[in-house]
Amino acid sequence: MGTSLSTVLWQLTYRAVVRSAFATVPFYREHWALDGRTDPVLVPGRTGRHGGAVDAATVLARRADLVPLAGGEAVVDPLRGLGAVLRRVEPLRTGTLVAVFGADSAPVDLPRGVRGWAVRPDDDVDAVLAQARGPVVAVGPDKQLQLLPDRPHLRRVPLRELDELDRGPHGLLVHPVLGVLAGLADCGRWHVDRTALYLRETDAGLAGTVLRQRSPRLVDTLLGDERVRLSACPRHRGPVLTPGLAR
Amino acid sequence: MNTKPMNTKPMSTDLDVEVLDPRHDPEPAYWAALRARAGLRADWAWDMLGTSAWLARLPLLVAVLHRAGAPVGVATGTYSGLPYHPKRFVPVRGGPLVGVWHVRAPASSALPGWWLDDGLTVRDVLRCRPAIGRGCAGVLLRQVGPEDLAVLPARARLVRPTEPTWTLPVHDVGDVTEWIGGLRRKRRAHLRATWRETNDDQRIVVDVATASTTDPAEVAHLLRHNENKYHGRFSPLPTAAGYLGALMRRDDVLTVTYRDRDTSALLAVGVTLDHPRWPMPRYWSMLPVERGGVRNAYFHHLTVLVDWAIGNGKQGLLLGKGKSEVKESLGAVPTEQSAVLVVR
Repeated sequence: MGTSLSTVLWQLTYRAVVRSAFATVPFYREHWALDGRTDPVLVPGRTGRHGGAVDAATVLARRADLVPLAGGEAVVDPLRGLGAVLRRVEPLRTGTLVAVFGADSAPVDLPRGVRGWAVRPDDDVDAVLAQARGPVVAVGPDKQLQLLPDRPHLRRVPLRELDELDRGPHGLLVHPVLGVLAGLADCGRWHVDRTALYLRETDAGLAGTVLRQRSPRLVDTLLGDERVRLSACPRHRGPVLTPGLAR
Repeated sequence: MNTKPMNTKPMSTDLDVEVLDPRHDPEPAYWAALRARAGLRADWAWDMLGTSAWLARLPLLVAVLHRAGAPVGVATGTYSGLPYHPKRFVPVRGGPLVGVWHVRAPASSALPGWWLDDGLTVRDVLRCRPAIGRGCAGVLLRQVGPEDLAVLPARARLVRPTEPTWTLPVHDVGDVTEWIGGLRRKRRAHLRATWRETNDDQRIVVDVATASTTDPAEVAHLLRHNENKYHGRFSPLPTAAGYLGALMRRDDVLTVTYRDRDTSALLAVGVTLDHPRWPMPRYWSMLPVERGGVRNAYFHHLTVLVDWAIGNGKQGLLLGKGKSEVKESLGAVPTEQSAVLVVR
């Protein structure tokens, strides 16, 4: 990823999150104290497995221990960061309605003037779309988006999983623990929102850290697909996810 | 024997003190035998002390008294003082600049934090103070009974009575029906009804088993309901699933679980530390009744434990502190306790 100033700041932010998690979050305290970690090593001599990263299933099972000692929520949002990534890949003008299928609640990080709607199974979607005065961005699984009626101001943004990195031309990449990882930009590459997410190589593949979420704290969660690689976009410079060869 | 010159201080008597930090020091070769000899429960196992120490706000230190090279006493406690950060774990190295050694059992505030061989008294625990740290200004002993209080120095000490601890003897009853029959009328009727109704409730499955059969993450999640009820600035930290996992893998730990028969959801759980004579119910929590919890499950759980203790030839149960009226109504006996601060 190089050594540009933004990359160095990205790494410093990540290290601060790691140290804070070790000092205040029971799961990371116990895991890294007893087993260890790398980059940084927190207890001399203890380097752990996978550099201290853990798989998503373990993180979900231990979510009560992801709350810092100061308290907070233990609910993992599978669409965390949706608003921030979506605005990078879709123009969200004032008056746009963002309809999210499969979410428990509407996204909270949309730009001012953009409304969010968590579509429930029994909602009358056709009626809502017909009444919408501005553009509508529908976000959700491909199957549900294909059922939507064609309308002039409706854009569909499918949610993709890590094994669908080669699909396009639009989309948001999601992970069950880390939420929205990346968005497919106009360059055709999956751009990571580095203000909110840090990614790191381990011997079990990439591990992600949510940088700005106080609780539940999510640090070094394995993406679960060892083929996915982190590189730099030659056009935009930012970090991008690319499908790699199997190890 | 594991001795470390940096931590070991010769004493004016024939006793030597060895201070260990379970986070960094390996398990001494004598530890398992010492724990068995002293009858110390699972939370004194070295790996459990290590996990406790990492998940504490303040350094947990173990002092072992040696005579002629053999361990003859042990005490454990946190080095409590300033600076103090209630929302942070202890730093990897170092600790308070000034403070006192707060001696208490590793995971329970209901038991003394020391064991001493014949011929030693709690006064000998005070000898450990100089080895705890340069800023250690005294020793705070919790759960000091009247006999121990009598041997402590009369000068330079502060004594405050604390809540009594409760023990429930069962060695002289034949079965749980006889135990319930010996209680006062109101509690007797209540326990009989609870025992019958819960046992007949087709919605739930009650299981008494070795703790390793239960998922510690599930237990930790449920414990949060109870911990949140009593949360305060100086209250104990939440019980981490990792600590529970290490504890519940041990053979001498028992769980009583209440599950929904259809969904297998955990509705209530009790975790008990076994002991040859006096097992101790250590954790308890349940879903609130309005969220699907089992009414009176706490009382049913205690009745299950009494039944189990009688069946396994135990002397009784250590019920700890708090809920004095309830424990008295169950036939438990109080033991007066004091906290004693001895300054240097």
